[in-house]
Amino acid sequence: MKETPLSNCEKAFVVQAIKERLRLDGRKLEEFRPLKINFGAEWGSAHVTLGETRVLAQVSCELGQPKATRPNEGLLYINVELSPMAALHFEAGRNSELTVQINRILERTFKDSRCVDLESLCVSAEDKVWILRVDLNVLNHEGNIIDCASVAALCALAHFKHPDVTVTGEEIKIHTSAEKDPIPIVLHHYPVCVSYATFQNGEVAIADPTVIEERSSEANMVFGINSYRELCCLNLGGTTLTSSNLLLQCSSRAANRAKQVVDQIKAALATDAEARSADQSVGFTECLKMNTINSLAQDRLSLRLRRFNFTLDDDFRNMSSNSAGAPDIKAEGDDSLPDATRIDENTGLLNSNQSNVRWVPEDSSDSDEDEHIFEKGDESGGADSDDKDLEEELENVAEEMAYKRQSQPISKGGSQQPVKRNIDNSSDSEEETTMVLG
Amino acid sequence: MANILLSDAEKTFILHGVEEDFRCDGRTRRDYRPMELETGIVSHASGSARLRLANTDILVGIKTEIDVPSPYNIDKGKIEFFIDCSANATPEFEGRGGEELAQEISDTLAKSYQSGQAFDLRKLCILPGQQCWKLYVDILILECGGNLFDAVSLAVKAALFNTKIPRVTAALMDGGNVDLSLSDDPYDCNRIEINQIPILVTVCKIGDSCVVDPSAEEEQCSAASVVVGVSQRDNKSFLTNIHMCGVGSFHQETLESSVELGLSAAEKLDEELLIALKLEEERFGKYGKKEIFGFLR
Amino acid sequence: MANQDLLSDQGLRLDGRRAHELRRIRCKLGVFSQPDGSAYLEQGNTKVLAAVYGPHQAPGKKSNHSEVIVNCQYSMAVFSTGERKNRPRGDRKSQEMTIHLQQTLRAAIKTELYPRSQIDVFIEVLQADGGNYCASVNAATLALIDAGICLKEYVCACTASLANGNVPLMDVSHLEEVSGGATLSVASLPSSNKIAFMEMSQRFHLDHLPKVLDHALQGCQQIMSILDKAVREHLALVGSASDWGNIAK
Repeated sequence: MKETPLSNCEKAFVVQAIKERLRLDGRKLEEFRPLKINFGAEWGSAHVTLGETRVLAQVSCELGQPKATRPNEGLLYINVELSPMAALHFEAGRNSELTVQINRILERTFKDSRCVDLESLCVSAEDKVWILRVDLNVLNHEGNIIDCASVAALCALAHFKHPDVTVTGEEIKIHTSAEKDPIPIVLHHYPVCVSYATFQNGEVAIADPTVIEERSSEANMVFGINSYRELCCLNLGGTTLTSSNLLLQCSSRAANRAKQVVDQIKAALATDAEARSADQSVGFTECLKMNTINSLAQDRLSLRLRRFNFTLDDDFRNMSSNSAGAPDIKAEGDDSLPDATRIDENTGLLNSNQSNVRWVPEDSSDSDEDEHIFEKGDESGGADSDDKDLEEELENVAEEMAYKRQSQPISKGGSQQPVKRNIDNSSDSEEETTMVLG
Repeated sequence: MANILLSDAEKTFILHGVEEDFRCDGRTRRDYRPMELETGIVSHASGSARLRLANTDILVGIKTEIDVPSPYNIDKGKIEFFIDCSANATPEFEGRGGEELAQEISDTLAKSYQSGQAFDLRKLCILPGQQCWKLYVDILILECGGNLFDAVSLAVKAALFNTKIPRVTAALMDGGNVDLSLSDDPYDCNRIEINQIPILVTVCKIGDSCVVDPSAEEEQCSAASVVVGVSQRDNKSFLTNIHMCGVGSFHQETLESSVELGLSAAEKLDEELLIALKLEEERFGKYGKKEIFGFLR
Repeated sequence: MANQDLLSDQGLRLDGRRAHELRRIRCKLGVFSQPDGSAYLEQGNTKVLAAVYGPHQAPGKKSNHSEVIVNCQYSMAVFSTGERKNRPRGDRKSQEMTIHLQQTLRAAIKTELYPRSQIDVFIEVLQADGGNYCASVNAATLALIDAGICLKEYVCACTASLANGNVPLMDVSHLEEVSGGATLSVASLPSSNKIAFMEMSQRFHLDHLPKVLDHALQGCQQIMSILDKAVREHLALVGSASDWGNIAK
């Protein structure tokens, strides 16, 4: 299937929004989507979600011949698979441009930076070494595959253990995990990729772009960076150009982000290890509870005001509390539509949970001030502690919202209506409402 | 091959020109276009040559490698031809587009080198059954201006002339393994005897007459052509192979006369090539450092 | 560490250059007659040929109504490297290089001027000795100019690396690439000082990035002046032959 082209007005909308320092999903320019890591029951399998982007990684190993040029080093292969499961326009088994690019960036991040201690994978020089293979399957494509895939690959590698072997003369015996404990892989450092997309002639960079942002951006930057602020890979390219200033700024932000991510990975690994030693159940069962929506990006509403909640007037609140059963919702949602519009246009009562920034309609005179506040937020976002707080807070907010979504389906449906009208016809929003409920 | 679009009128013009023995560029039917040749221009290769025949541009690099002789020919070395049609020549060659043409040329070339009297593979053997040299002859077609077969074979011959194979100074037998030590001195090397190395000549049938060295436009007007491989020995020319290409056919008499034409052209061409190669080497001294013009001229 | 040997105590590099010196660049425009534009460029021992075909009509399925399609192919002669390559193109690295070139050139070409068209840029590396990407970009720029395609400005590329842990090196050769640390390749539009493309691998502390980047950008500036000179010389040659187009004077 061919990729659905992005219409000019969609593109213009995104660009305009970013000019006003807004993003479709309500994030700040510097904000990343929540990252969740789960480990499978087997060694070396990890499932990572970044917002709605999901990647499943599995590391496997086998004994094989080393390369003649490096006889005492193991081998590492990384392979990313983009199947139609992730998005319909990906063709299975075909090397698209994107696949090549993601593969190469990951190769550069993990292989060229020598993050895996390949020498420790040697069983007998020039004869037998462990060949590691990291298979990454993108399950859902909602933008920024590369970040998600790099985290998944790193988690899987850090989680993986290969069986122990004993060499007696010519004979090599591979022990089962019952006989001897499998051996974890030695990682020298933990690199992850952090992506930015640039807008406005390369003056603004937004973190963690979604599909629509990726497609309307001018250029994108990928930093492969580890927790020691060492660059492992850098890739910048697109149609428009970036000044070196922005690049340097982004690189230092990326370093902070990398540290957070690595900390999160380490924490996740520790939790997993704890659970295993305490004989608790491990595996992907937890993921099932995580999120409900799992369909293709384009068909669903890409506009969400996650962090904003309405201050509803009484009528509206009554109405929503009256609504009980799912079958009624569609009709009621339509009823509430004029109300919501009125609220939005006249009073602009969208409050941010997060930093008490008020969201005001475009034509309001307050908008300048607003932008100012955002900017301040951006600058302070550079510091570690702030980001961390932000991250935690974000998760809280996300949970809260998830709860709200279930409890107040109508208010959510209503809240999207006014803004969304700018780009879409209203049929999609109904779809969203029902999907949230389902 | 690069497709040039010609109108019927243009084709007729070329046809009549050939009939009159006066071709578009002023040549007679037996004339070659001017050539430029330079050897030793790729420093990563053991031998290299670049030949430019009017618009046809060929770059040949030869790499040597030590290999084990095949069990059927334990006293022979190996030679392998690989042709890459660069997309620089025409966008049609992009990706795998040029592979068919490349295969045709390399097959013809390999066939003409097959005869032991044309190219002696035994000289490439180091230790029978154990070690031999393998020559990788890699040909890059950078621009197509017609007459690829001739240009490729001439360039290969020049590159072989330029090839320096390191001298083996000692061989140690250690159980089943052979340890070769090669001379460290880059000037201490073996050369390849090229006198008998065959060259290919394309004879192109345009209308009722045959021409040598067809340009790309003339190739478009021809229904059939015959490529003859010719090797020189004891001042005599020997045919090593004949390859026909194109959709048309030859009458027996025409074929005989065109082979005749090919042979005589090859004799002259070979002579000129050897003179040019000797001149080139003399000019720069046998191993002297020289200024490489490459593509800068 | 091998890193230490890249710069001697006298401040000389393995090939005798100083840290901030480029390799010798020699180039020529219009080497071939069949392509619409072609160029040959030597940067030290790295030798690259570039050919440009187009703009011509884009094939139906690829055609874009608002801008030109830049189609690239990067291929390396099998004898271009020290060890013989098995195939000239199609492996992951050259595919990646193709994508990178495409991105870079799209940033430099005025794509909006040629709607529904396609420009083919073919790169052939004849000899590889480090900085292949950079030499390819520089050669492609010249070939595009030779083809008369509208560019925003020159796009030049240069590599930079770090020696002895703190001294930035400009225009890295293959030997330095292999024995040294990380190599940064930058393609920039030097006149407006913008970066069109950037790529890096291996480990490298973030604090060094500004310094190394700065060196690479300086390298791009220098390369631009060299390319500019070559273009002017070429035009003088071509122009004087035709009496600057004033045939009917």
